[in-house]
Amino acid sequence: MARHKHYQRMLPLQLYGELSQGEKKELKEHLSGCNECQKELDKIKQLHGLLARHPMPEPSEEMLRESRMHFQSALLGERLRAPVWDRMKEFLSLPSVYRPAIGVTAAVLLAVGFLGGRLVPGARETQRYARLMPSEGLHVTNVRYIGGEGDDVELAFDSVTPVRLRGRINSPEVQKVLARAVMNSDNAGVRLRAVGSLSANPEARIEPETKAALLLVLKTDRNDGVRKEALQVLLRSTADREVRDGLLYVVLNDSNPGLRIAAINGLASMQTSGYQPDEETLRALRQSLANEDNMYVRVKARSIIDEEKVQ
Amino acid sequence: MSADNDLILKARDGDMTAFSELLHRHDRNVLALAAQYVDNAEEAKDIFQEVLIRVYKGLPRFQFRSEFGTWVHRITVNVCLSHRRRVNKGIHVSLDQAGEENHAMQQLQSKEQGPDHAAIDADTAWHIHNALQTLSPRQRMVFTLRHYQGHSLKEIAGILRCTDGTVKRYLFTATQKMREQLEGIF
Repeated sequence: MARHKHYQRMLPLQLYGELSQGEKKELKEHLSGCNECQKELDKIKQLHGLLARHPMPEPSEEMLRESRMHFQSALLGERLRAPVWDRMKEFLSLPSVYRPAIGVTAAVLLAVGFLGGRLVPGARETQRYARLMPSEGLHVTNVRYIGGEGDDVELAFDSVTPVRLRGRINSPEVQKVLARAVMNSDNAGVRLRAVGSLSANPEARIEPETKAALLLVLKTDRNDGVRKEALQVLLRSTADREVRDGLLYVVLNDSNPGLRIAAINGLASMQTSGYQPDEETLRALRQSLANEDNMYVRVKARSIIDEEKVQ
Repeated sequence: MSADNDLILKARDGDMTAFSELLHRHDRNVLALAAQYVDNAEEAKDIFQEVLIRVYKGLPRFQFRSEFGTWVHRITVNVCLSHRRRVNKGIHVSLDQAGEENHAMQQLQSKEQGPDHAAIDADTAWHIHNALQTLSPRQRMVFTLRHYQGHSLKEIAGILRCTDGTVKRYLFTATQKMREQLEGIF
């Protein structure tokens, strides 16, 4: 029995060409006198035949394109979700006048000696933040009771400093704050005003981080107005692969026909200005031709494809 | 592969166009393996995304000790294996979800067949799919890499960081199980 097992373990390897010459010879000799193992080999061959007749389906081009687009969105989110330390370095690297503008929400510890007015001995950080409280007028939320002993008590809270920032639209500091407003605000009005401040200013130069935020918003924001403003700003930025992918995403996925029209026009403009569509773009446009309800988008997609054929 | 290395260096410097180009050279293989392993379009897309995010995060630490494609392949295998573990931990598919999965499966294209064979093919494909589900994650991965992707046992051992003997054992057990499950429809 154990002897059969030894040879039967060799059978799949034989079919995959993974046996050495010596092993092949040994197996061949055994099979010539062993019906049981020969039958087993025949069955495995039948299995391979069945699997060969029904090969695993391969991902379609459409699936690959969709996967790439979803990944691009995830990647943008990842790029904007910088590690805490990176954000801290970024914060510290700003000129001091800007530092409060970040609106830092920090969980700080506060120790208060109720009777003696004493602070917890040795807690330097605690003392530093405790001094901030009356002088800076921090807005305190989410106060938690940590513990206490005798007349000492320890609390934790979040503090927010509301700050105004004034600067040129092209300054990196202003754009960083705008990018975070676009990304992080739950209020559509805030997001709209943040993007609008860029679209309203034709001189605005788009920093990479802002561009990444706009592309993410273009693909994921639920508010049509925010997506529209983001599209307007991106159409003014340098034509590159990221912008092209964003426009294609809108053409193929956005539910708003006005945005799809703006995006297909943007793709046409990119072509006119010399950014020729590659095979991936053409495939996406053909998909749009097949699925698009809006006649203008279809006509425009057809015209880009035909234009490329001519060239 | 030196062209890969140029793109890696540029991508590390923040050139996202180079990063995109680098991925476009390899991401088709990522999706193919994911799709063969999970046999479900939506899960394959999830795996694809997770693999490429890991590549993005790991690129600064890539040390050129292996080909970039091999590195990506290894990440794909690891994500597939951990994905399977997650799914096995208790996600149950409802009938509605099963309908959605069938829809998603349409994104996986089979070789063209005549309409007369469609029903039989779908039935056989279903049996094969079920047979693959009976394999453990590692058995299935070894079987996928050897049978569908054509990797040698030595390569698989390298990808899974185990011995040739272990790979042979997985392959044998996987073949046995597949044979037993599908014996009735040979």
